[in-house]
Amino acid sequence: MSLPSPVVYIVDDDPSVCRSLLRLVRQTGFEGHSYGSAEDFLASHTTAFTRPACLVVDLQMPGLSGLELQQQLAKGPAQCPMIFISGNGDIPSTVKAMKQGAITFLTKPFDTQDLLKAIAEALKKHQASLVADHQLRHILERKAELTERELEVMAWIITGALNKQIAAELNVVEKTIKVHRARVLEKMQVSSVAELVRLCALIGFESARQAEVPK
Amino acid sequence: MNLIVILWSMAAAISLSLSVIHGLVWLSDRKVRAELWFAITAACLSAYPFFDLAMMQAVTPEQFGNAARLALAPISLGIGAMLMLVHCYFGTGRRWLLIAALVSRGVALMVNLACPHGLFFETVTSLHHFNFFGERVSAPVGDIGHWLWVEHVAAVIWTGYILDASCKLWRTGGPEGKRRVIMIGGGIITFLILGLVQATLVVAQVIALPVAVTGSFLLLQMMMGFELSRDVLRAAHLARRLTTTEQRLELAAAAAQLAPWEWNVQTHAIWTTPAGHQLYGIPLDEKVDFPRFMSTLHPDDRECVETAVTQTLTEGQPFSAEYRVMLQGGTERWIGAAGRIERDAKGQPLLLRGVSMNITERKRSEQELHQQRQDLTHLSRVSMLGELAGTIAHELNQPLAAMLSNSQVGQSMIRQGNPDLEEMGAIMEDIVADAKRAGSIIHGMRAMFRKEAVVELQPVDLNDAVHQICGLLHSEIVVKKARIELDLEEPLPLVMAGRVEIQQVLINLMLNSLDAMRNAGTADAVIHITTHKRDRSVYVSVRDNGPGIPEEIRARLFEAFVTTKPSGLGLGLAISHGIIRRFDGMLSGENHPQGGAIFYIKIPYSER
Repeated sequence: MSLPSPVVYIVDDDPSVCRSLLRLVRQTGFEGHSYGSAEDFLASHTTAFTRPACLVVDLQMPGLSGLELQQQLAKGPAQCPMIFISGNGDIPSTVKAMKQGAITFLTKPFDTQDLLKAIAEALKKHQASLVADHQLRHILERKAELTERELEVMAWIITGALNKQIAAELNVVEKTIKVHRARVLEKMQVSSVAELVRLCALIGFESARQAEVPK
Repeated sequence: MNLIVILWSMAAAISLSLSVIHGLVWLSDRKVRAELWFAITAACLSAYPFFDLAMMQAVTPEQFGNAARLALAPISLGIGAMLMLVHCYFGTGRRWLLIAALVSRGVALMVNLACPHGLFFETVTSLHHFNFFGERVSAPVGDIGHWLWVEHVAAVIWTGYILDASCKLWRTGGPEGKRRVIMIGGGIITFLILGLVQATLVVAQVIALPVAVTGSFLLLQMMMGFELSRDVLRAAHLARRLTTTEQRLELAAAAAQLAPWEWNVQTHAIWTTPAGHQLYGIPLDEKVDFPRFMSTLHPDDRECVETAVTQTLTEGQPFSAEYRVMLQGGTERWIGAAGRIERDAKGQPLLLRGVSMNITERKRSEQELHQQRQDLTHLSRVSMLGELAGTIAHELNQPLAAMLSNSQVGQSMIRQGNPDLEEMGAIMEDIVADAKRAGSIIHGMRAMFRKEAVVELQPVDLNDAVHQICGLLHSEIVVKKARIELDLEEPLPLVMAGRVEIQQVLINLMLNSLDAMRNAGTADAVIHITTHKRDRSVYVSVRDNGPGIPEEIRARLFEAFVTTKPSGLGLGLAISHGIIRRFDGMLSGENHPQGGAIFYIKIPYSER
């Protein structure tokens, strides 16, 4: 699938640094936007990202610091990988940033190549996660189409039970089960039980419990 | 030999000796007139015994009468001299009374000489004889002189004069005066009156004694001589004490390295001890006067010494000055001098008397102390900057990071070929601005790290200083999660101060506020800085909303080694206080009514 073009967000209270990073980002071919404070950024991004994005954040800023921004974003819908830059990095801050999920931590003055590599990594990661999200949504959409009966049947199908066994469990004739099986596979847009199993695992759909395990 | 002749001759000799001795004393010190008058008195009275003898050995009444007539001459002269003696010695007699006494005495003498047998007798009719000291002596028999009352009148007047002078001296003279009164005043009156009474009684034939008043005269002279000799003895005693005192003074002055001096304002001559010569590097045999003294001074100090001298002479306040003296060989010596003015009877300055002291050691200590204080201020400043090292690094990293990114963007633009020149131009501008920004931070740092030998005063704009400090401490403020609010009055007059020292004080106050607020966990920490001018002074206030100054250290806030920080030395405020005082200003601190602490810097400015 084709996603919209990636964007890089820059948050730093030093205007000169912002300007230089914007130039760098745009010259590399990405779209770039800069914010003078974490508050400004939060105010503008309250919903989930729809395009690959990454955040280049200064650690020490008046008001919300980079670490606090990271914590705030983690609680909300607008999440994307973060790259920290700092003029005065101490080890505890670095460790905390990494533990809270930062891509990397660069100290000023940094080589632009290092930053660009990090940005590329971040965007790739975000892209992958966006794609994964998209797929997940798609699966859920398909699952939503199934009736209740069909859901029951699906739960038994992914245990690997034969139609006969499923019919016995659900107290219906085998013929009915056969029909349900076909419909489930069609609606879920899969061609094999193995694929169905995979999809269910992805969305966390639990299989039915087994009444008797054959010895 | 006749015993009486021997005795009376001895009396005359004694009188003459006394006269000669005291005459010699007067010659050696003409100022003591009393000695002269006594010498004259004794000389006159030394002639009298001969007349006494003549009277006692008279054979005929005429002889007696003649001798009696002439005898009054030395007595009158003697009494006149005695009156002058009292006048000099007591100094309390009334002039007109003295003149009256002298005149009446003179008149009595004239009258006496006019009468053939003197004042006492109208005529000596006969002589009667009796034994006196185993010899046959004559005594007069005759009528009382009609003019005797003249003698009595004169006696009353001169007695009155002496009594009057004596009473006054008794009242005002103190113990010394009282003794003089007794010895001299009392003596004169007693013995002369005694003599007069004796003579009168003999003439009236009441008692059987010759008219031999030599005895009482002699006793009188001996009393007076003794009294006057006391003065001579006392003078010798004083002279000895004076020598001892002078020696002690010299010793004390030498021990304390003091050189007493005395400048005669009217003649310009200066007296001083050998120590003084040595102190000022003037050869011992050279006479010193005011211009010579001035020539020993260091050229830079001459003006202020002249000013101090003029002030003392015109306004009369004590003289006090510290100045340098140039010695041969180019060495310098610091001298401290103090003195007082003495005026003459008309109130004009006559003498300036004082001491000079070698204060080179003290001055050196003072200079060392000053230097150490400078060193301490510098060290404190450097240490404070050391604490800020992290934030300074951060401040520098911002422009450096921007410069590096910009440069690399430019490089890659060139590598891609056909760079947009306008964009390149913008990049260059940013790089230049950032480089300058970093440069000014470093420049500010260097100024603060530098130690100056002498703090140079320059016109400082305190608003500028505040802005600079806020820039310097920007990162520190961000890290400590505080913010600054500025309320600066424009335009602000310039004050004469040291730029770096002012910045040091501001940094000190702000770091204190930040620490206090962080330790107390103040939410929304704010530092409020204001500047304004009022009453010829510029005021800067630094206020925080922290916990304020604890009650127990409020009174000792600016003392050394007073701190609330566990790891603090407590020198920051003490040094800051000293710095502001050096610029004639004041640093004070108190708790703000709305919470937090507020510190005021006040520095005067001069209208230019």
